[in-house]
This record gives sequence, C-alpha cells and structure tokens, in this order.
Amino acid sequence: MKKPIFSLLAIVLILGLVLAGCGSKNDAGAASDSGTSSEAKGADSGSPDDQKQVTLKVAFFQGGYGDVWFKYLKEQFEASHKNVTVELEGSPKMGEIIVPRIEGNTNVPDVVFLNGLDQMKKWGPSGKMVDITDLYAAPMPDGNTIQDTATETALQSQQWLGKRYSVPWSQSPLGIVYNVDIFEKNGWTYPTTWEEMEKLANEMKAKGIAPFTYPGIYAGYLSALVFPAYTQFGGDAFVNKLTNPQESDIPDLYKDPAFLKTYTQLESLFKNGWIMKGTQALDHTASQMEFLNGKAAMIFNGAWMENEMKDSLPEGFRMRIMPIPPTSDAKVKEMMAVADSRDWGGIPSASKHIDVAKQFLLLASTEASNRKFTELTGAPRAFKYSIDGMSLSDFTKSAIEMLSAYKTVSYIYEPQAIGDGPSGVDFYAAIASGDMTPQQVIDKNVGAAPDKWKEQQKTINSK
Amino acid sequence: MGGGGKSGFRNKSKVQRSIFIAVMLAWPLLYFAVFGIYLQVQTVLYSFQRWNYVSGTQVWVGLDNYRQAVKELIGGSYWRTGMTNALLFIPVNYALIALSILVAVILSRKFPFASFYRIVYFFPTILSVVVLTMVYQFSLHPTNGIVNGLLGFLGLEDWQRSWLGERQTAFPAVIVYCLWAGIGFYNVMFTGALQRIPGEYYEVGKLEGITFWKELFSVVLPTIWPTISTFIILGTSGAFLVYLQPLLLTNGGPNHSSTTAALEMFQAVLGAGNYGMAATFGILFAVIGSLVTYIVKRVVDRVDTADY
Repeated sequence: MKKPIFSLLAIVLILGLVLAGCGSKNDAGAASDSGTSSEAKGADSGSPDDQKQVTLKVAFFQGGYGDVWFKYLKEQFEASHKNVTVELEGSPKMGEIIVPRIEGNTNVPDVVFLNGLDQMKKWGPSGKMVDITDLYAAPMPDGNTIQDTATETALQSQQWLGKRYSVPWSQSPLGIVYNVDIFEKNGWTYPTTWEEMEKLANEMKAKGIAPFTYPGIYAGYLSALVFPAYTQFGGDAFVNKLTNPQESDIPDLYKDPAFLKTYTQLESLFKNGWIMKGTQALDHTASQMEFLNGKAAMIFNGAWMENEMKDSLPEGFRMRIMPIPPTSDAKVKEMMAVADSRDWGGIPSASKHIDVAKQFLLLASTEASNRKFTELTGAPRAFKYSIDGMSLSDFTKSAIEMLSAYKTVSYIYEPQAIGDGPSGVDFYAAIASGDMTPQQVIDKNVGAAPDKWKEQQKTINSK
Repeated sequence: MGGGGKSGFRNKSKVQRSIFIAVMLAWPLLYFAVFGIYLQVQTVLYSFQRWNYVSGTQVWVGLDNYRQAVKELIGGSYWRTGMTNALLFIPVNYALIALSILVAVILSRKFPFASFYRIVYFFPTILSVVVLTMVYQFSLHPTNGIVNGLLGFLGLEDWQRSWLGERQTAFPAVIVYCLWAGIGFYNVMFTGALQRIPGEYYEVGKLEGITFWKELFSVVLPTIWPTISTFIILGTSGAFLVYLQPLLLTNGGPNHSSTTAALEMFQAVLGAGNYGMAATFGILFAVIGSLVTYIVKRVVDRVDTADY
C-alpha cells in the first residue's frame, strides 16, 4: 500500500525536476530571442553607439593558417566596435568538436570558421546556420561587396540550393611543391609536360633522390594530382557530367577514359618507385619534414605548407609550388592546379548576436583583411585583391602566381551527383597501397553507380 | 489512540525519509534517462534514417541502412576489415591480461629494484595517449626511427621497413602498441589483487615444496580469478571500442587495413557526417559484441573460484 505512494512521489519529484529544467531552458530561450530582436532593432536603426556590452564568440579551425589572422581581426573589430569583446577559440580539431555543439544547441559560438563545405551544406538547409545571402550585397567597411570581390570559384562553392550560408575564407591551391635548391644544383627546371616530369623523376631516382612524397596516411592529398588530371584527360564536358549528371549518364559516365588515364597516372607514381620509401607511414608533419630535410625533391601539398612548417623551416630553404603538367594525350593540354574554396565562415542560428556577427564577417572580407591574411599566413584568400607592396616569401608569391597564371580546377557537385567514387572505395588508398588496379577501381564504380544513383534519388526525394 | 498517534508520527518520518531518498535518486535517474536511455533510443532511430541534405531533414528510410550494412559486411568493405580487426582485439586483450599477470607476479617477488620496475611499467599509463603514440611513431619512423636504426646497426637491413605504412606490419604494429601501452594499467590492477592473497597460502606451498609454475596455477590464479574474469569480460566488450590508437598511429591505413569497427564509425560521423550508417553499424556491432561477450561470460563463469 505504501510502496506505490512512495514511487508515485519519486516520479512526481523526478518530473518536477525535469519540468523545472525545461522551464528554465525556455526562459533562457525567450531571453535570447528578445536579445536578438533588440539588437536587430539597434542595427536597423543604425545606432552603433549601442552601449550594451557584447561578447562575440568566434570559433575557428586552427590548422595551417594558425590563429594570427583571427587575433588581427579581433583587434580591428574591437577597435571599431567599442562595446564588443571578441572571444577567440581555435582548435585543430574544431571540425569535430563543433559538430555536437551546433547540432545539440549547446555552447554555440556566434561565428564559426571551418574547413570543409559538407557541414555548411548540412546545417544551412536544416536551419542551424543563418541565411546570409543578403550579406553578399551589403557594403563592407571599405565600400566593396563580397559579391563583387570574391573569386569565381568561391562564389560557386559558397552556395547551396540557391542560398548562401557562408562567406569564403581561403582559396588554397594544391599542387606540387618542389625544392628549388635540389633543382638548381642539378640543373633541373620544373617540367611543363608530364612526359618531361617522368624523365625528370627517373633522373632523380638514378641519382638517389626520391622524386615525390606526400602525407601518406592522409591519401586525400593525392587529389593534387587527381583533380587536375580529370580535367586534363576529360575536358570540361566530362567534368560537367561528373558534377551535374542526369539519369542517362549512369553508369557510362564512370567508364569515361578520363578515369582510367587519371588512375593509371596515379598508379605510375607508385609502380615506378617515384614515391619516397616509407611515405605511406607518414602524417602531414612527418612527410613535410622529410621534404624540408631534402629527402624528397617534390611533395604533393598546398599553399599553407610554409606557414604550417614555419617553426621547422631550415635557414634559407627555398621552395615553390607549381601546377600539374599535362600529358601528351590530354584533352586539355594546360598545366593545372586545384584551387578549392572549401573553407568558410558563417553564423550559427543559435547565436544571440547575429547582427554583430554579420559585421564581423564583413570586416573579415575587406581588402585590408585579405591582404593581412596573406601577409600573416602566406596563403591567398578566395577574393580578388591586390598584393602590391607586400613583402611576401617566394613560396607565397609562387602560390598566388599559380592561382592567377594557370588554369585552376574545383569540383562543385550538384545534389543529385554521386561523386567520383560511387562504390565507396577509397581509391587513392587502394591504388597507393597496390591493393587495386585502376581497372578494378573503375569496374567497382561502374558496378555500384546504378544502385548509388537510385539510393541518392530516393534520399533527396524523400520527405 | 496512543498507538494511532505513534504510527502517525512514524508515518511522517517515513514520508520524510522517502522524500529524501527520492530526491537523492532523482538526479542519477535523470542522468541515466538522458545519457543512458535517450541517447540509445536516438541511435536506434538514427539507424532507420538518412540525411536529406536538400530538405535539411532526417528522413525515414526503413531498413535501407541495415540492408546496405549487411551488404557491405558480406561484400568485404572497410567495415568488414574493421569488424575483423575489432574481433582480433579480443585475443589481443587476453594476451595483454596474461602478460600483465606474468609481469605482476614476477614484480611481486622481492628482488632488487622491483618497485622501480613497477613504476617503469606503469609509466605509459599516466602519459597522454597522444604523447605515447608520437613516441611510438618516432621509434618506428621509416628513416629516422630507432627500430630501423637498430636493425641497420645489427646488419639486418633486409628487416627494415616502413612499419606503420605497410599492409603486413601496420596492424600488428598497432597491436604491439596496445600491448606496450596497456600493460601498466593491468599490471597495477593485478598487483593489487596479488597483495590481497594471504601469505599463509604461499607458506603452505613452500612447505609442500611446489615450483613457481605450480604455485602460479594452483595458488595465484585461482585466488585472483575474480579480478581476471572481470578483465576478460571488459577486454572482450572493449575490443569493439578501440579506435584512438589506429586513428593516431595509421589513420586506419594503408588502405583501411588497420582500421577498426569503432574507427570506421568515427570517420563515418566526423568525416562524412553519415549519422544513419554510423548508427546502423553501431547497433549491429553492439549486437555482435553483446553476443560474443555473453558467450565469453558463460565460459568464464564455469571456472571455479577459490574462496578466501
């Protein structure tokens, strides 16, 4: 008789606690809503002398570019917005730790800068990121607009389903970084055709110098070669089909000779022994260190490498980054490099200071901020801006030259596309390790494409 | 009358007591409800859903995820390698337990520097796993590593290799790391268990004139069996959770040959944002793991324990 009463009591108490928790949460939610709207009003009425103290939390991926640029932005922003304190939070693991925070609405920053567009594409339509399409036409502190100054690649990449949830960050080219001293000492010049590259690699091998290395445990760095090769071998028509396929293209698209030629070119690096021994055990830091120590003449890498390795750069070390030379049977016989604009800054919808955050993104996109970014990190931003009068390293100059003087590629897939590897085979790793031949990879992709297409159609059409 | 008043008073104090108990229990129950039940339910729900990035919502796909998961496990994808490697960690964990017991027994003997060695064995446990993996990576570095250096010094150049970069050696190297880094923790646990064995047991043994091995199998192991069986079960279920070591050492490579079930799930969520498939495999591996653990527990329970 008594026991049920006590358990009832216990349940009531637990419920009470739960409801109390919910209640306080609701209160907080209401408070934040009103905070946002009052701020919105403040911004609308154009009263920058809003005396309310605001702390703007900026979380960013602290990778190869470090945190110096964000410290600069903080300084600039606080100088022009006296009531704002910018709180920076940088982490090399930001891409991982931010996911539960944004998706679970806990400890959400006001501004995020991340690498990889997938999260933007996921959070945008689901309402986790603020739609900032209008911000592209808004005047920045220097009078320009993002719409007018962002690069073509950036404008294409930083949109999803007709809306914009992000502003571009960097536009870092991936290519082949070579050791200038090794080249000069041996009287070599950077080749302009792949056949010359093959000759050069064999010469290097004969001299006991490993021609190439790359961060072996992250096989994705090999896209430095693979992405340009797709366009070189397949031309624009192939790339259009790949990124925006129709049902009739499946699975023949994956039989396109561009794939076989590309993968065969990739395989040749390993088959011919041009990749430094032991490369596959190395992470980015270790492989870049080997390159800096002159153990390999070239490394597949990006424009952020110099900054990433600035503490270990040997005195007087000289390197340049160059695009991938075309083979003689290429459809497009041009040297090409990857130049993605895949990192971005945006505003989580849970931010309580959306308008201040918008101001921050605008300030981050001005010509002055772009120049500062390049000066501090040695990497280009995804904007058109002048680098006149800046003292830049030879490496940075070569990276910027690569963006302006050569054709660049960047693949932006439409929602129905099923990528360059529908079978899910990690083909970089499979070919690099010798586990699969190019033809095996292609057969797998051709075989898997129809199912993958059906699955994709089902997913994007289901409610 | 008086009796009624007394029982009323007793009732009141009982009510107070119950309120106290209820309040004390509410928090852990709530915690369990959120982090125990809710998250599990969420995972089950996720396994029947997929992300539609056009509409920005989770959509129900029925058994599609499970169908694909089974197809991948049978068809020999990275998930299957992950599952095989996770299962391989079960005997690895047993070997670790056996090694730790041996070390603990040897170090429990009174010989010079015994406590020094105990500290040496425990050392890896107090260091961060990131530091440990770096040290290990450095020692196996293909060109500057001490392992290849020693092999070269001994004239065994043929044996030099890129330990973490070759299919044949990458996963074994991860296993060796787990043994090396794990022995300290288990060692402490077993040393504690050994110290609780009453000294008379050994004295009786000595009077009977038994050997080291006889003592180990007739005295030591039966007495510490409860500790051993606990770690056998933990080691079995823990095999499905291993991901940090391969992530840091090889990133699962080359070509996913040193991956584990948990690492593939980790990468499905954080690399590809594929919650649906990760949840599906999570459920499947939980089922497989529970089955294996249950069988092992049944076997372990059959072994008689010495009471003391």
